[in-house]
Amino acid sequence: MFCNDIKAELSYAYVHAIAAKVGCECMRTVVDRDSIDVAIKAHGLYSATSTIKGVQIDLQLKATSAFEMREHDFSFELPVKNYNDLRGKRGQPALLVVLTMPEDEQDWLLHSESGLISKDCAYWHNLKSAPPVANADTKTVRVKRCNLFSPGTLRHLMTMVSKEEELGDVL
Amino acid sequence: MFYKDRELPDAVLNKISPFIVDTYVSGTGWERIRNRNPEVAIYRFVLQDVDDLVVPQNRDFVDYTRRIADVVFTLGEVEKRSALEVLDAFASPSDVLRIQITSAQTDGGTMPLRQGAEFYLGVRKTLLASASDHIEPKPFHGRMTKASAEQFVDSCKIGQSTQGSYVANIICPLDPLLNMSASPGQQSLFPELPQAGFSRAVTSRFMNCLGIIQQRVLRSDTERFVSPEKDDLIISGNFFEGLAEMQPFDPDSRIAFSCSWSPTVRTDSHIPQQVQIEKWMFREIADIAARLRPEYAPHAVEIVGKVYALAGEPGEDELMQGEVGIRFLEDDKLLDARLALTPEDYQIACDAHKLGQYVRVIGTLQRARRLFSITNYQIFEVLAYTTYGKEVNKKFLKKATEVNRRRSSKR
Repeated sequence: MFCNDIKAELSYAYVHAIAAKVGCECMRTVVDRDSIDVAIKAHGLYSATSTIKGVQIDLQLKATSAFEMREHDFSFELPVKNYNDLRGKRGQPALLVVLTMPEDEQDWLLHSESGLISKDCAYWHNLKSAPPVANADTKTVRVKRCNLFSPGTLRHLMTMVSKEEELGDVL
Repeated sequence: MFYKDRELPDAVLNKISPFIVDTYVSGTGWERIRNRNPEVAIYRFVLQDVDDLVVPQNRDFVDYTRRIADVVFTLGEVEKRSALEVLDAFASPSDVLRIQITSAQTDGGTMPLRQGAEFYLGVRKTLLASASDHIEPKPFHGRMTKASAEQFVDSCKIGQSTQGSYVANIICPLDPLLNMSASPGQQSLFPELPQAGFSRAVTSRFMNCLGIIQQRVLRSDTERFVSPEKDDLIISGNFFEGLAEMQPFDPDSRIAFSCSWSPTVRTDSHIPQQVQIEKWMFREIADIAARLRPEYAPHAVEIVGKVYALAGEPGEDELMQGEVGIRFLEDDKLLDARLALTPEDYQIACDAHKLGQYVRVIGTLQRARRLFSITNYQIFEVLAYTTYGKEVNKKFLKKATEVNRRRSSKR
């Protein structure tokens, strides 16, 4: 596999593991219709206060090892097609998830008897209602460091969607 | 795990309107629940604990195709059929008329060829009559040639027969325009109005008429078909004729009619779900058919026409005699009649036929089913051209040309 393919697979594995941890299915798309790579799905009432049975969040996955981490965020160049798809009106919520990875490939996945570590960290970003962009191939998005894509975060996001609450920029 | 949407074609998914999906799920056990976002409709299945269905109401959604695919897959799981079958129900919605013949001859799921041929001709005639009656209710249609009625019947298909007795499935596609362009607004504006196009109107009428026929035959109230009361549904003699042609051969037999309505269009709950016609009822049905056919009382005529057929045979005296065919105008209609001639008159007919001459006949014109005949003729003679004039000839030729053109276009 090429380097970018490995990054893509590792980002999928990362999200899949987190989804499994919180009891959700992680379904990979094959046809790229609307910039969605995976759908995270939970069946039934996800929480005691859920109003909808069955909940789903669609994700666009990206992985990068070329980023500059600032105090509160980092920038990521997103292809305009993905940007427009993710900012558009949808029937189910969709988020961008970016996995930041070390420059050195050897550090991407570490294995020992004590555990399997996937580096570094994934962050989510909501582009709903983001402003339009004109005449560009990519759009720079500033992904907030506080938006960790973790089991706790995913559980919180799924609960919100199951209660028909709007997902904002932050939790 | 892979998303299943790859199995369904985008081109078909994109054509399915939210209105169609809403109508379908509303009619198949899903209840709409309150939700916050007006641009999606959320349905909960009442019969089973399954995930809610999220139906996008906005075709401009970036993920519209994927959401419709989700709906199709979920419905497939709930209805225990393939997603492609569910997709077909949306994309090519049809009512399916189910006609089950129960008799000794059809026990093994087969039917004698002769009976089968007559049966399907009867089905076609009954459907065509139902369509014609919907367009123009009348006691009898001389010719059922309305374009939309024929178009409807031509679009119907014979589906796969189901196991057990002989069951014919007649697939009646619903109107394409109704399904592809209907918008959610139509449903909300007229919630009580049955959403029926021409096809649904015909299949509904078909079942309705069968229900009425069964009930009145059982109550011995069949006179109302011949002399209907003010608000009675008019059922033409053509419908009765078609039904009579479907009758099974065995004494202890019956036909059960039912319809599987496409859920994409709301159905009228008053339409009977199943109607059973017993063998003995077909005698009454045939009788009503005969009574509804327009009567043609025999009457004296003097006609001018042309000999178009010679079908005589040698008699005992070895002279050719017997049947000839005459074509003539009556009330601006071109009619054909047969008459049996003596040897002398048969000779005249042959010459008239050969030379294209007009003949004059005085006799009694009568009708049996579709055939006219002239009996008790007193005069059969060739007319000189000057006797009947150019106008009659022109009129005759114009009518004959019209008839021939119509017959050729049907072939």
